[in-house]
Parts: sequence; C-alpha cells; structure tokens
Amino acid sequence: MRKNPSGPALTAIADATEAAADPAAGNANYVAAMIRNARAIAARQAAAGDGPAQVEAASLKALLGTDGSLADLNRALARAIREGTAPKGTHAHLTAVMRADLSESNPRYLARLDDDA
Amino acid sequence: MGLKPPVAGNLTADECARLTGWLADQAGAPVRVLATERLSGGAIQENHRLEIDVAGGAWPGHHDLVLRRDAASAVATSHSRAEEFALLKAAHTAGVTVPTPCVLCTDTRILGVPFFLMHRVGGEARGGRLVREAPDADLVRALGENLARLHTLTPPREELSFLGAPPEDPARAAVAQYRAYLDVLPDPHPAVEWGLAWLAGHAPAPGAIVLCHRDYRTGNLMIEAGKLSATLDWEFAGWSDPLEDIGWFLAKCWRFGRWEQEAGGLGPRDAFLDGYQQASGRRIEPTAVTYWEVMAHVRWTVIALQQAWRHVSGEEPSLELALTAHVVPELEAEILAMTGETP
Repeated sequence: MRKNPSGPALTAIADATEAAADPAAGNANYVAAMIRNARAIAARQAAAGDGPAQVEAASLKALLGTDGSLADLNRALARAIREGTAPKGTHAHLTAVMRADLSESNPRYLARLDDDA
Repeated sequence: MGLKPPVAGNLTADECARLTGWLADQAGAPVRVLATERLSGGAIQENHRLEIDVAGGAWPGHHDLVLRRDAASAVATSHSRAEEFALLKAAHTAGVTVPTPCVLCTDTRILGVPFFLMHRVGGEARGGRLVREAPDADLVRALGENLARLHTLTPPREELSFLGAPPEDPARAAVAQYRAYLDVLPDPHPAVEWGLAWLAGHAPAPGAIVLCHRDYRTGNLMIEAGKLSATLDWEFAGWSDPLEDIGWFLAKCWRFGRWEQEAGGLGPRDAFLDGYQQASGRRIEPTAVTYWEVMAHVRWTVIALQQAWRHVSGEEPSLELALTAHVVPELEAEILAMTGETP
C-alpha cells in the first residue's frame, strides 16, 4: 500500500514549499531537490494508477481468504503477523508489494538491489 | 527545511551583556566577548559560536566555544540541556571524543532558557560528503574504539539518573515499544510487523547493559583530516545493549549509498569491529550483530513513519517530513531481505 502522503497530497506540499521557498537561502538547492523528488514520485504514482492497489488487494484476498478494503485487508494481515498466524506466502506477498512501492518511490534503489542480487 | 521559519539571528546585545556578566562571575575574572555568530543547527536547539577572552581567574586566556540552548520555538524534547551536559561530561570522562563540555547555566534570567558552553570543534559530519572520501580502515577502527569507550559506562550512575531504570531485556522492550508506536498510526504496516515478529522470535538472551548513544552513525560523527573530532547528537542516549549501537552504526541504511563499505559507508566492517573488540575486550558474534541490524532498520522505519505522520496529521506541514514516508520502502526491502521467509 502506498505510503502517505501520496499522489496529490505529495504534489500539494511540493507546490506549497516551492511557493514559500527563498531562492537565496543557504539550503535552496536541498529544497529544490526535495521538490523535484516529490513531484517525480507523484508522477510515477499517477502513471501506475490503481494497478498496484488492485494487484495488492487480489493478493491479500487470496492470502487471507477474506474480502474487504485494501486498508482493512492490510490491517488483517498486520494483525495475523503480530499474532504469529501469518499465512504461508506472506513474505512473498510483502516483497511484491514493497517492490511495487519502491518502483514508485525510488526506482534506482530497486534497480541497484536487483543488480546486486 | 520545508516550511520551517528562517534561521533566527544572533544573541541580542542584552543577552550578550548578561552572558558576559555571568561568565565573569563563574570565572572570577573579567570576560570580554570577541565574537558571536549563530551557527546552523536543528530547529530544536540553537548553537552560537562564542569567542571570549578571560583575564585571569579559573579559565585564563582565549576560548573558542559553542553555546547551546533550546530554540525559542522548541517543544519538549527527549533530553534537556542540563541532561545533555551531564551526558557529554560522562562521555568525556570515559574518553569518548566529544566537544569538551565547559559550564552549564540553569539560571533562566541570563538567556531565558538553560544553556551550556563547550569547546568548538572543526570537521565535516555530513554523510553525503564523507562517503566521497577514500575508504579508511583506520578511521572506522577508531570509531569502533570510540564506541567501546562509551560502553565502559554502566548503570547506575547518579548524574545520569534522568535516563531511568536500565531495561531488563532491551531487545524485547524495543519490540514492545515499536509495536506501541505503530498502534498509534492509522495506516497498517505489515512489512514492519513482519520485521517485528522476526525480532520477537529471534530475541537474544539479555546481556550487559551500558550507556548507548542510540544514534551513533555517519552523519553524527564529526571528522577532520581523517580523524574523529566529535561525537554529536546525544538526544537519544540511554541504557541499552551495546550491540544496539553497533547494529545501528553498521546498518545498510546509514551507509549513504556506499553499500560496499559496511562500516557507515566509511570503511570495512571488520576494521570497525576489530577496533571495538580490541578496546572493549568484548567478543562480538556476527549473528548477534545481524539481529541488531534488523532492529536498526525496523527502528528507523518506525521513526520515519512517525515523522511522516507529523506532516499527514497537519501537526507540522513539511515536505521533508512528507518525503520520509517514501524512504520506508527501501527500509522494508532490507528488512524483508534480512529476515527471510519465516518470521
């Protein structure tokens, strides 16, 4: 599941930061880099659309044998893991979801992991 | 730093006058302030450079100092200035490389808030810069020795009583605490739960308890000409298993991208551990270190999620906090890789 803030909320804080930014400030380059990074993440999320959430929900339903919203399914899985009743296949599911998130948040990190593997 | 206000100014003339008078009383001699300058620093603490000349008394001569006080806007923090001063003094006594602490003032009539003075130390602490230098086995060996000296401090210590009672079982206490932190956040985080379940299932038997820095890593270590000049940021110090500091320092998430230099991106893992083992006489088992490296990633994930929530909840709108959420998948990748298919 995408981490919050995502998509439009991420773009909104990037826009607000840009509007308030002082180009003469000592950290202007750092702020500009953060703005670029936030917009790049939001753009990759927009390009991927609802696809990752649908894949994740289907995987959770198969894993847990129940239905529900994406957040509720994740809550049920989190509870099962804590209670020591995580179903077989949980690690593979979590890895797939992490890879989908990482391909949006930092695709270079993901590529580097795959190169090292 | 996101939407935070710009850096505030220097000490006022009134503050400087009261400070000069107070310093003269402490020194028992006339004091002249030669220069003051606001240094960059956190939003919680203010650092000011203070150059003074003392004409005799207890501290004769010229001193290049840093004055550290809470910022006007500071919220309650983990350690007060008085507590930080006590930690610095204890560390300094144990031979840890820190800026020499000089004097503490808890009289709020002088600067409005408590403050302390310490020696000013030069060097570079920014991890992104340090990992561009050549890998340095001697440096990381010295960082291991430095940490071993800190870990000679054991409870109880009267002057550190504010740290509370030492945990009986640091690993299990940490797991319980991070679960409690997650429970306050609205979104579920099953990959972090996976890491916590693994940590609960693999928790070591409790061992020695020592004074841990709890943020001992590249970024908080000032390096000058290839040598450690200061151990910084004592905000999180507390009683714990010494391996917590070792795992935190070695964790992949603190290598600033230079993954192959496993000691903080600065040098080889073995040199750091050799330095630590030689100075402490304590034998470090590799599997025990792995356990605390998983703990390090889980801890940083939980902190990152808490930081992101400060933005999402509206408590503190900040792009920097918002982006912290998007470091989490990297940390989850490491947690899942290290723990494997059975929690």
